[in-house]
Amino acid sequence: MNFFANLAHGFSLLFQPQNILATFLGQLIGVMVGILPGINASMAVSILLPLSFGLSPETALMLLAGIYMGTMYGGSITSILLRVPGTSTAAVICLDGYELTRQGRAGLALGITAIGSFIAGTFSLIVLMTLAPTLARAALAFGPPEYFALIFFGLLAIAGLEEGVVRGLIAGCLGLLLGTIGVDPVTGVARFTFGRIELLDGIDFIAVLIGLFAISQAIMNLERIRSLELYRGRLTGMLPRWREFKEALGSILRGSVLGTIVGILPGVGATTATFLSYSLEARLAKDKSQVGKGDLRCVAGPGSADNAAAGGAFVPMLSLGIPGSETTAVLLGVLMIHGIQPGPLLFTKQTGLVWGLIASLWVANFLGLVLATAGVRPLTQILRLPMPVMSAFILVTGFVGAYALNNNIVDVWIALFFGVAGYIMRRVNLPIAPLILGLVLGPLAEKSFRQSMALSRGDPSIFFTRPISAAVLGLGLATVILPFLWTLAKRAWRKGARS
Amino acid sequence: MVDWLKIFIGLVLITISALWIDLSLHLPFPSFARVAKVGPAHFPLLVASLLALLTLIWLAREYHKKEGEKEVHGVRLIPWYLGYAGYITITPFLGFVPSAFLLVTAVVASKTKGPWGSRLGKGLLAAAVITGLEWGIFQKWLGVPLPVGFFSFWGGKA
Repeated sequence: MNFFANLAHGFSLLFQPQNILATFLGQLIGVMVGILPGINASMAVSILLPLSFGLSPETALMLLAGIYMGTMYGGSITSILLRVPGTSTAAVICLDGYELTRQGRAGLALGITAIGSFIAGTFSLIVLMTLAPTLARAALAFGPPEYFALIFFGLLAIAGLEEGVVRGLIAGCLGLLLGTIGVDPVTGVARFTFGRIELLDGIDFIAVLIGLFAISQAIMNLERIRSLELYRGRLTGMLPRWREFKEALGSILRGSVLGTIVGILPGVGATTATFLSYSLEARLAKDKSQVGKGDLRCVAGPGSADNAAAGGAFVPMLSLGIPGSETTAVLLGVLMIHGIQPGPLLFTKQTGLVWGLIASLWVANFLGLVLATAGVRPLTQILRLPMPVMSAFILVTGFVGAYALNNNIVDVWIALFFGVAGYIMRRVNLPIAPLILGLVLGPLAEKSFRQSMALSRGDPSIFFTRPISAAVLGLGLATVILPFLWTLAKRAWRKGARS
Repeated sequence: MVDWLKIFIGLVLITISALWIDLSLHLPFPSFARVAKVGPAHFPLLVASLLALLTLIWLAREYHKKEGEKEVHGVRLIPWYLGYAGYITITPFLGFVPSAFLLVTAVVASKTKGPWGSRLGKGLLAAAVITGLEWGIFQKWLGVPLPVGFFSFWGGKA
């Protein structure tokens, strides 16, 4: 089947009533989650993941991917109107977005962000449709060393882009170690189970996700988040004039390209994309005195970059089975729950599922535009919901979600354990994303490592003598070493300038 | 200023690494000569050693830096975590519906503002809606046998 036939097949699947309903619901929930501070896409997807047990893989993926895309649209709304970022991706949008609101141009800021998000989403989906199948075809030639190198790259990339490489790697190693718990698939030996039968199947990563994202955050929100006032000002002029659109177009396009590239990098995610886009727009601004004081371009760029990154994150997920962000790591889990092995074969063996998902992303992108413009006033009413009610709802859903995995209370205790761990990790600044990546990809990493070592009869040089593997490993090491060298060079340059 | 929590977490991580290394060394440790014989110990041993090394580097570089989550003091969260642990403990005995009802009422009543009567009212209303919704979706729609404890009239797993 060719490209257009595949897409048509995807749309025919999407237009089945349950799938279109799931896409719409996902987008609606996503925008509302985005509006609510303290609740992010990973949390919403983890908490609603158990709901997917009763759905087909296609419908489940469309619902959860819709939530992911929707949060990107919703996150900027409270940033602009109330100076409270709904999601971490929208944190930088506060700076100039809220200034525009204070100047009475809230409608314009929301309108340009929604339009920019739509353009960026469209761009990233075109890249997804063209690049992912090509990448998947190329990846079919990958052997175990290449796979191991790719996972290694993912972990290094995510660690390298976190504030501290060492902390990122610690979290990644912890995730990999957790992935080794259970019966070894090759030899059948029970490993690190401490005699507990419940651990023979390994630690259910959904219980870990529920703990790290939902329970820990919900409990923290009880002490941190205060209820917000609703925005009562006028919301007119959402459709920008041609002059205003022209002013923002360059930023939107830059945000789209930058966001898509950052999104494709395994594990990096949309927050980095928005911060990079803001800093780019601030540097390119002709009148730098306006930056931070309501510069439309500094709203349009990051507002577009987050949606582009969300679309881009699907490229490594669908083509290589490597998540591009925390949330796509959870989505990979959805595939595994339904017995579908993520990886390059997905495009050939699960054509309907992949293209149905892509079709749903197109529709979700359009629905996001509609909801983030026409639906702002009614959707922000969700801010009336007191945070304690929301937290209580998440805590109970977290319990049921973890319990439903195996109808066993042990999984709920595991979720609570990781709920505590989630707080401690935040407190000592250990990032969570590498842990998730390590946990999800750990078993595949170990399998590829062992197969590679068997191929080479124990010679580790196999990872460096095969060109693709060597190149990917080199790239991974570069993501860790280059920022370090860059900091050293900057320090030396500053010293030189001072002397 | 020394961040004692960071040092404690560092020690926990080193203990985990040591435990994993020790347990790995007790696993079959054959050669790489045959695929079926590639040991289950190699990979965890490698990762655990790396974790120990990285933790030492982390502690050496950052033990004095206090950073990370600052908005909420951990001590204030302890009652919430203990409360949630209590909820998990009583659910198999009391059943999902009554224990979830209690949890939601307690959370909402203790964290909303206003006179106690109104807070309790809000808590009970939220508890009825949330518990009903969860029970309807998971027990009725998805067929998850939620714990019923001593009371079995709403169906589920005793």
